[in-house]
Formats: sequence, C-alpha cells, structure tokens
Amino acid sequence: MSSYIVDPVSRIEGHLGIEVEVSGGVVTNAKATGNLWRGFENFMLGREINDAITFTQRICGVCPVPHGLTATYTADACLGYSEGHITFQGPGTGYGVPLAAVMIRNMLAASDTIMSTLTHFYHLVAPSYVQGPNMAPWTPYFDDSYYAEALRSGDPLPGTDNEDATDTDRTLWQAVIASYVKALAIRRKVFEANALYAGRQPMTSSYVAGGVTVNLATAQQDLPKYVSLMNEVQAFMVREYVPIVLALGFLYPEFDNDDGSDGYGAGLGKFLSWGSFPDADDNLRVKGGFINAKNAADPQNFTVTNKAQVKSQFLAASGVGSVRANLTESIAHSWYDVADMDADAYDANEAAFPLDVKRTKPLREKADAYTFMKAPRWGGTAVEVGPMARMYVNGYFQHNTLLAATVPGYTAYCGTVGDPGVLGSLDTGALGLGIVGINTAMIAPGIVNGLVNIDGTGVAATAVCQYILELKAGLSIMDRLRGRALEGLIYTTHLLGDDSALGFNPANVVGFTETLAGIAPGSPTYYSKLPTAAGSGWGAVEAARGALMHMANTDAKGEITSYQCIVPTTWNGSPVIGDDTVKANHGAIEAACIDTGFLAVAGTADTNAGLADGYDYVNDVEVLRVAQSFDPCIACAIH
Amino acid sequence: MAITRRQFVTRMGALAAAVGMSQTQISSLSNAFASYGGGAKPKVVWLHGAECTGCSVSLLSFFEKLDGNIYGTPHTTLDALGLAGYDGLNDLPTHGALSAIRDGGATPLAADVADLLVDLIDLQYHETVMGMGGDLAARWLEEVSTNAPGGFVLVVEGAVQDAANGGAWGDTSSQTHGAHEDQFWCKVGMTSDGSYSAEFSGLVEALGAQAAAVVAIGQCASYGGYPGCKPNMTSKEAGFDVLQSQTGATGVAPFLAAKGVSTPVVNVPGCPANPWWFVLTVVGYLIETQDPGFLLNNIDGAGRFSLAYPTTVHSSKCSRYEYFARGEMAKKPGDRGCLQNLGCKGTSTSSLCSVHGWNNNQPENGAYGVNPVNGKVGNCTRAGAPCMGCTEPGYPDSFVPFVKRV
Repeated sequence: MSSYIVDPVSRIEGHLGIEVEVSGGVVTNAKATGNLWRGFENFMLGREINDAITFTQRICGVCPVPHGLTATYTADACLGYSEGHITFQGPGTGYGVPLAAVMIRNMLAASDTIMSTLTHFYHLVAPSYVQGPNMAPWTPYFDDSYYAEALRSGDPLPGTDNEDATDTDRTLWQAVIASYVKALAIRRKVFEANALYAGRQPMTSSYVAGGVTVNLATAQQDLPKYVSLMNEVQAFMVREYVPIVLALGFLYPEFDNDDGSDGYGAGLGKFLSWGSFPDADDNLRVKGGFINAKNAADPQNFTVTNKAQVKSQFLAASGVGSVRANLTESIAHSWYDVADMDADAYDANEAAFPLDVKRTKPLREKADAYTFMKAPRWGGTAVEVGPMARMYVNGYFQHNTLLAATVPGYTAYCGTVGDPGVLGSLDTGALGLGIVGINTAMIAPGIVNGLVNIDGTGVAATAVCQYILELKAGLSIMDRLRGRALEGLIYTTHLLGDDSALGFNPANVVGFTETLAGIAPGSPTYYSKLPTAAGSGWGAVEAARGALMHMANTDAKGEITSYQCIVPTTWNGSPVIGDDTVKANHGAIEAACIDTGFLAVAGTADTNAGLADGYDYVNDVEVLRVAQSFDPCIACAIH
Repeated sequence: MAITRRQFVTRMGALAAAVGMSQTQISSLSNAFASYGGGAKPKVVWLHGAECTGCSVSLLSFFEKLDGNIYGTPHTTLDALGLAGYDGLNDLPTHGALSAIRDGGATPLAADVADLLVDLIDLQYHETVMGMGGDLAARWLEEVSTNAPGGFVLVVEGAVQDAANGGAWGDTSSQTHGAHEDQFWCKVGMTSDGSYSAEFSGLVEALGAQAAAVVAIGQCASYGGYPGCKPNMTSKEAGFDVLQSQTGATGVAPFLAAKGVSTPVVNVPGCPANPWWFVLTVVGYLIETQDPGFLLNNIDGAGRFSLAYPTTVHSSKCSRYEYFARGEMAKKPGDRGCLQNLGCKGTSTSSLCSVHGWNNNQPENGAYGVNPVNGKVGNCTRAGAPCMGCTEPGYPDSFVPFVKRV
C-alpha cells in the first residue's frame, strides 16, 4: 500500500489537500484536509445581525450571494420577519417580507447559481478533461494519455467565426475552446444583470433584513435589460454548455455511471437539500428533504415542498425532517477545541447542535485531527449536498431511470429519424431505434460541427446522441456534472418563465421576472422592524454548491451573541466520524475517492512551466476530477 | 472587428493621459509594452492566502469598451497625442480570434479577461484558473520558491497570517497533515510524498524577496481586511486577546516590511477590488519600468496608486448626488434619496466607484466621469445600498454598522 498527497486541489475555491491510500491501483482510504482558517464565526460576535449579510459574503467571493441570502434569512428570523429557515412573502403585519423583495432575492440567488454553474464547468473543471491553449496558465498539462483524443491540444486556436458561422471545419477541441472563451463573457453578463439589483457583483450590497434596498420603480424599470441579458445566458446554456456536458460522458465513459449502476466517484448516494426559492404561491421551486437514491423505503427520506411543510418539517421540534432533532456538527477530527463556554453544548463525541455553539476555538495541535473543516451529519448520517442532491430530491434524477423520462426538455437535444430538427418529446420506448442525430435547431452550429468532426464522418455524432438519450441517473462524476448543467437549465426557466426568448420553458413555470413585473407600482420592497427582544434562529438556502445554513442568537439590541455557518462543502468535505474503514462514515468527497482507480503515473513537466528545467511529478488528475466534481469551496467550508 | 493590442494600449494610455500623464509618459507606456514584444509578456505569479477568491472572480469579469471618450478626452484627441501613428507593437496571432469569439464580434473595440490572459500577462501560477494541480503544482511551487523566473510580478490575494504567530487565541501549536508536521493557518500545497510543504506566509516571504514588485489585490492583502478584524468577544475565553486579529492576519506590505523584504508593494484595495483599479495599477507599474517614479512617487497614504483612487464615492459624480443637493434623504432602505442617514461612508471613502461604474454599467457613451447621468453608474449606492468604505484601511471594524436600519 502507498499513500499520495494531492495538494493543492486546484481549480476549486480555496485550499484543499487530499491524501489517498492506494492498494492495487485502487484508493482504499482518503483524508480531505481544509488548509486555511480565518475565523468568520467569531468575527460576527457583538455586531448587528444585519451586518452578518455583508460579513458572511466575504466568507467566499465565488459564492457570496447565497451567503448573503442565508444571512438575510437568518437576520429575518432573529428580528421577527420569519419563523426561520426561509422567509416567505407577507402583508407587513406578522411574518413575511414584501413579495417584490422575495422575487429580487430569488432572482439574484438563481442567476448567481447559474453563473457558478458555468464557471464551474468551463473554467474550473474543463481543464481537467480538455487541454487548454498551449500557453500559461493552461500549461503544463498532465500526461496526454489522461485526455480524450478529441480534446487534446494541437489544432490551431479556433478561428474567428462566431457560433453561428457556417464553418464546418471546427474540431471538437476548437469548439470547446471557443465555448470556454465565450463562457467568460457569458458569466460576466450574469454579473451585469445581477448588478442591476445588487449594486455590483460578485458581492451583493442590496440584501437587508426585512426586504431589499432596491426601489420597486427602479427594479421594474431595469427588468427589460435584466431579462435581455439572462436570455443571452440561457441561449448559451441551451446551445453550447448543456450539449458539451452531455457529450463529455461519451468521451469519458469510464468516469460515467454504467447504465444506471455506480460509476467512478459514486460517493455516498444519500442526499440532503434545504429547499429554495419561495414563489408567489408560497411553494418552494426547489424542494427540500433527504433521499437515499437507492432505497425509496429509507426511513430518513422526506420532502418539503411549501411554506406549510417548512414549518411542519424543518422547523418542527422533532421528527424525521426536524433540523433541531437531526442536525449535528462534530469537531472530533477537526483542529478545534471545545470552548470553555460550550462545554454543555457538545456531547462526548464532540458533536453539537450548531445553534447552541457560542464559539469556534482553533486548536492546531490535536490528536487524530486532520482538517479545519467540521463534520455536519443529518440524523448521524453523512450526506452529499449540491446539484446532484437537488436533482434527486426533486425527482429529476431517479436512480437507474432514463433522464429522458424525468428531466424537462431533455429529449429536445436529439432528433428522431426523418425529423432531426424538431424540438419535443421522444417516445422513450423507441430508444435505440429511431435516433439519428443532433437537434441542429437546438445546438449551436459550432458545437454540432465539433461533434460531427470527432471522427470526421458524423458517425460518432450519432453515437453521442444515442449515448445521451439512453443515459440513466446514477452515481458518478459525470452524474454530478450533468446534474449541475441540467439544473442550471431548469433554474433559467424559474427565472424567466415565458420571458424566455428561446421559448424554452418545458415545465411551463411562471418566471420570477414575470412575477416582479406584475407587482403594483408603489408596492414596498422593505418593511421596518427594529429589535425589541432577544432573537434566535436560522436561515437556509440551496447555494450553487448545496445546502447552506447560518444559525444565530441575538440580544435585545439585535447584536450577535453566537453565529455558526453549516456550509455545503463542510458537508461534502467533512472528515470521517467513527470507523474509517466504513465508507459511509466519511464525508462525501472522501467517500467518492474511496474505491476509485488511481494509477499514480510518473510524469515530467516540460519547460512550458516557466522554469528553466522540467521537473518530475506524479499524475494525480483522477483525484482532482473526483474532488472537482463537487465544486468544493474551502473558504466556505471552513470560514 | 476585434481590438488590436495597440488599441488596448491606447486605451490605457488614454486613461493615463486623463489622470495627468504627459505625452512623454504615454510614449513610455507604449515602450513598456514594446519591450515585451514578440510574444513575451510580463510574468505574473498569483498567490491566494487568507482570502475568498472574490478579487479573482471580480477580475474575471473585466470588460472595457475602448470606444467613446475617457475623462472628457475624446478618442480622436488621442490620435493627436501621437498614439495613432505608433506602430511598435506586434499583434499576437491569437488575439483577434479570442476577441471575436467573445460575443461574435458584437462589441467592437472591447477587451475582456481573455485578452488580458492571452495578450498582456504571462500568468504563471493562479490556483483557480491554471491547468496544473496536485503534485504537478506543488513541485512547481517548490522549484519557484528558490528559483523564480526573472522580473516577475507577485500578486497576492488575501491577508498574510504569519505561521508562527498565534494571534488572539495565543495558539502557536503545529498540526499534522500527511507526512508533515507544520505550523500554519494557511497552507497552499504539498508534494505527493510530503517532502515539501508550501505554507503561505513563508511562500510570500520567499517570492516577495525575488519579485520585481508586489501587488496586493483586495482589502485583505492590502490591510488585513476581514481576517484581520477583531471580534468583539463579549464573554472572553481565557487568554483571548481582544486587541488582536484571531490569526495575526495583516496586509502584505507590513508583513514583508517586518521580514526585512524591501520589494515595493502597491495596494489595490476593495472588497472586492474592481478589475479596473487593478488594470490601472498594472499600467502604472508598466510605466514605472520605463519612467521610474511614475508609480512609486504617486502612492497615497494608504499605499494605493493615487491615480486609481483619485476621488471619494461621495462627489458630484455619485448617482444620488442630485438627491443630496436638494436635501432629499432616504429614510429607510428602498427609499429614493441620498443614503447618508442610512450609514453611507461615501464621504470618507476613496474610489472610482461613482466615476467608473461596476459590471459594465457605465454611462451610455462609454464616457468616464463626464457628467454621468444619474442612476447610470453601477455601484452600491445605485441599488440603494450605502457605501461601506471597503477601499479604506480599518475596514470593516471602523465602518460598522454598514446599514443603519430604521
């Protein structure tokens, strides 16, 4: 048995290292180490709860918006605008904030997730599968053998044709590189759209307890510009991003699920979501709950779909969905000590309900500890959070079931015999019989040409289509990447509804922009309420990377007496609790590394590294791929 | 039509002209670029410390239109300055292609981050965008820590937490990771076999000493920012020092000074930093290489390039100045009006926020500070959020509460 350290896990946010033990070319154990501590939970002490909205956005500059929204919900709960978890609309007396504020909060969070989704695939993940241009910062590459042949550098950089050009010469590599460059502009346009309601991006300035700082008249006046920018973004996703992600599994089948059975980097298979996006009818556009993907009868399974269930499940004192009864965070293997004042909060295994924890006290010398990440658990169970989790909780992924049967708009990507250009549903019973090729009405010509040119004959393109149409939901790296891409597309429909210029609204939902446009002029965006008594509570949001929660206690002046953040990558990147030979005891990233193949091929970096001479190294791209599929954010996870 | 490299330089030169640079100095800027001609570009090593990657994310959204006019200097005037005839710059073969891909050529004369990465700098190391990872990256760090490429610029994002400094918790212990026992608050890499470990503060010291210059991007790298702030621990732990940052986090300049490293450090504060301020500072540095003193003699009391932080957020350029002028004050969030009663820090905050908006939300003609139409410049105040002072030393502790809720 050998052990290898993979550090830095690059093209993620923050400082992550993973140590794997390898036996016979297979990972047998893994330790994920978070390598930076700043101390955010303590920074907030003694400050006004509303300032947590600004402070916690500085936990992470890649995903500040969900922290801002979670802190806003938390402040809402502490100041009496809500009962906790998520803030719904209200009339101005009792609980709730103005509907316009709910919509603007949703719009910023939804489009921020879309931005994160694009950034994650193109700029963080893709260079692990696609060789970038032959220059820094994309060089040096890993050994060529790690890249699919069609995605290796070597061709000239793509020509000056834009996506609608009729250039049929573009190779797949050129098409993907062109899309990478274009994605930089598209993600910027999300910022430009969001800045209309946030003041500026990446950090949002307009969230405030009780509503938003934006004036309704200005907000409605800015809608056409916002919608127009997000339409461009949606078109890019439909026409370039999603088809590339769907085709990636075809090129890297060893990293995909195998016809519905577990694939490379499968992980835990148990998923948690807090739910997100309250709408005008008090339903949650993204459901909350727990699901064991491979066991519909798991007693821990539950679902939360609306305001009433948020109260009866998440906010209940006990029961399968109760946060109070199920959520713990352990510091047993983390570089923390139980603070003097928290002696009562922690049990013998150094686990506590985070709302009861007053301090986060670092202790760098601690036996058996190996990370600054804590270890949250749900009912004692380690879970995975993130887009794949939400796809399962929402039923868009059903284990070992065709995606074509469960994902809205999925079949629109491929045409049928004799009618290759038609959008619409495909008879899944006819799979394998009637499939001929790419839907050229849907996918950008540059991408179509790239796919057709994989083998120069177009035969491969047909095979790609067949692969895509026959895909089932499973557990693997590719399922994680697909889950993120398909969810991003679904988010654009919740955002735009019939405001979609493409007419892409397969589930026929009402867009947040449509709801905002329909609110009567002069309606408020903020309700005044000042602290009168001590407060306590939590806010929760489905961030791009998964279930995000902040918990706080405040005094009668509204000043913070304790603040704890339970963050998506804290769930996914958490250390093991209990026997480390049991995979289910590990955090999701560690569990996904375990049982995967790892070759540790020796390599020599070329002089493109900017240094005079090359140097020897170990190719560890498999571990990077597993970790990157979670879109880890270590600044968030440790805070 | 894609921009050419010369046009990009022209735009930079135009800005420099507008902030008071002479024609000779503009020429020296062109010379600076010419000296990197033939495909060679200034090498940049970008390190992440106690940070959130927000400044990198902000820089990724860099976008500038090169048409229109700047600080009241019409583009045509630039021709008169002698730039139009300058032909000492070679376009790189890749350039036009990338610009055209960006938006199908719909925005002529514009530059974004792809142009920066491909044409203007040679970004050797940046955790979030580079191809390297794992052992490949850790070995690179090991090599470069003792043998860095000549003349490179070190960019630091994030505060520096001196490894041996316990900060407020008084914790100076070490911890184990892999084969290593280390003292660190922030570690940025380790080789596969554990033989080399890159702790952040040590790496900043090693590379800072070898670099031609250091740019501290963001509030944290400039002044300590959030990691450097001091929690108000109402009920203290034994031994907790309320007067210190929890991890002893400071800005890069004081850290290097304490280590006896004399490489010049320029701050580009902001939370996050606007990409434009960073680019302006880089332009200042390029001129400095040809015209010593241009940058380093124009550093303000807070360590910033004064031409990138020339005015306050509160000025006649603020999108809400009209309200201020006629005494219309917002009484609660969401109101029209000047935000002073809601806690706006604009009067004491130096930045270009009110002059040159964020996120491509600028006056319609692309102008730069020429009678911007109210409500057209994108920044915090436009969305009704008071300025929070994020470009100033002492942020955040000295600037809370950010919003006075009434």
